[in-house]
Amino acid sequence: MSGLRTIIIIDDDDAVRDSLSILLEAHGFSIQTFVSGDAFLQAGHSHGDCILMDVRMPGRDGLTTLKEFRASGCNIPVIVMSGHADVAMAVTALKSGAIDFVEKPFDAGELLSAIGRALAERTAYLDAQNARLEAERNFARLTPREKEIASLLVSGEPNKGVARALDISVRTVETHRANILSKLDIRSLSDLVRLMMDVAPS
Amino acid sequence: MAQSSALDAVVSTMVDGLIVIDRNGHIKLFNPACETIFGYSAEEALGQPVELLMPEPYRSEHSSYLHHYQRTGDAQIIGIGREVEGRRKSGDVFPMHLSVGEFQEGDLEGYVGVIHDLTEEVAQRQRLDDLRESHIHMSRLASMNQLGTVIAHELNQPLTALTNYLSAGTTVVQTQADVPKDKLVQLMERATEQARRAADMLSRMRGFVEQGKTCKGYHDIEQLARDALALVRPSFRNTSINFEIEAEDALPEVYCDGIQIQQVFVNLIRNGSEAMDGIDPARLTIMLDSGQSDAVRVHVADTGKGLVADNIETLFTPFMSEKPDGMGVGLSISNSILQAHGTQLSIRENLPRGTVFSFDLPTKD
Repeated sequence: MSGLRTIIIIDDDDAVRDSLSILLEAHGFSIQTFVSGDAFLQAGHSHGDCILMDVRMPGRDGLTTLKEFRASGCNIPVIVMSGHADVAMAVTALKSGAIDFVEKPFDAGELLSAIGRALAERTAYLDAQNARLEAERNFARLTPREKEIASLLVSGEPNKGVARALDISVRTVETHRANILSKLDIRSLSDLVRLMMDVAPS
Repeated sequence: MAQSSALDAVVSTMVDGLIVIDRNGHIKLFNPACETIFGYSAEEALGQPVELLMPEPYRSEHSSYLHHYQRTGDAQIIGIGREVEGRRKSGDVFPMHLSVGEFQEGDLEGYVGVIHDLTEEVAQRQRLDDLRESHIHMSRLASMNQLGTVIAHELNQPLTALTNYLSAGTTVVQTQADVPKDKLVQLMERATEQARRAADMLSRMRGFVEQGKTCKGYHDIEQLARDALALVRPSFRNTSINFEIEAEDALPEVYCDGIQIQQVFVNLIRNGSEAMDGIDPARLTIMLDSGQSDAVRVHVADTGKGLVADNIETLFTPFMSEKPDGMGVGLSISNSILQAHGTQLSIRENLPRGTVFSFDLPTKD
């Protein structure tokens, strides 16, 4: 990953925001802060890699914010902080889409490892997204005939079956198949299946 | 003589003690009730100076009272009656009501005293006071119990910030070669400030739950209101209620039990805030002004759903609550606290919506 990773802090307590900013900056993160879930949602989609959010806040509470945030299609990992962490609260937070849950007051190590897990998840998500974008780009370079053959192959037809279905020779199918693999920069039929699933999950 | 023996019968069967003393203060009559009260037999008491029945300081001063009265006619107790202390044969001192009359009938003259033993009444009064105090204390504990989890969260805020500042300091020292001194000092100062914030919160809580005999003194009413607000406010952090204190400039101090008045504030602020559940705009205002002379007037106003007229009568009745999880003791406790301060709660409608609770507090003992 290049550049600083950004942590978004949402807490209504001035001292908590200030101290978290200083602590995380000392650990090499870039920081954005918001005083409430409302303020964060109003600011629109922020660029960040991880959100640290208190559950109890004036206006919309943490869990509501989290749900609305998820509903809006954003999936930055969220770590929920709470001052009176009970099991029920933790379960609700995780069910609402939080990746982790830390109880205040936490020590720096605990927080940093939660952030580490969240960022790892973020990285995996971004990598997968990049892979999909690249696959889509590559897939777009296939000719209509190649796309047709690719979907028949993925649906399980052997070369002979494809040839029969399209009324062309097996030899031609083999040529197309080689071109498809080379354009998509993949080696086997199973790579093609995976890639087609990425491109068109629906 | 029939009349005299009827009188004897009355004197010897009456429940209150009857004593006759002569001008020199010697006991001339000591009825059976006196024997019971004081523990002396009539035989022992008759002819003795009446000081026998008094504890200090009355014992030493009595004869000078008597002479003072005989010289000036200035009565301290004669014809009046009041609560004084008596002394039994056993040496026990006890509260009693004494009323004294003076008589002169031919060559018979002197003073007649009627004595009512108040030991039971005073003990009863004391028991009631103790009961009232522990009741008030229990209700304080109950409200602290309700506020507790929320306050624990509140306490965790400064602790979190404190830990963060210190961890940041450690990290900075460990990872940077030349850390500027002022940067570290700044971190330490902020950490200290958070420690103090946590300590303040704790001491406010401790003060509130402490078992205490009623202890009146002079207090800054605005500070009492502010402290109470700090205790209640965290419970309503998730709401959009606006809390305000509007205090007139240079208010005199009030004479009250600070903790108990805080308790009244806590009850009223909570009631008001709960009454505004789901209402917008929600505003809770505490107004402090110097109403009449020698008093500060306190109003706690909300913009909530208001009271239904039918309910006003049962408002101060314990265990009658409109709220599903209410104990119904808040207002009755508040009112009994205020009554012990010689005042009471009054209620009126807030316009255009809501309720105002008001009371006065004295500025003098």
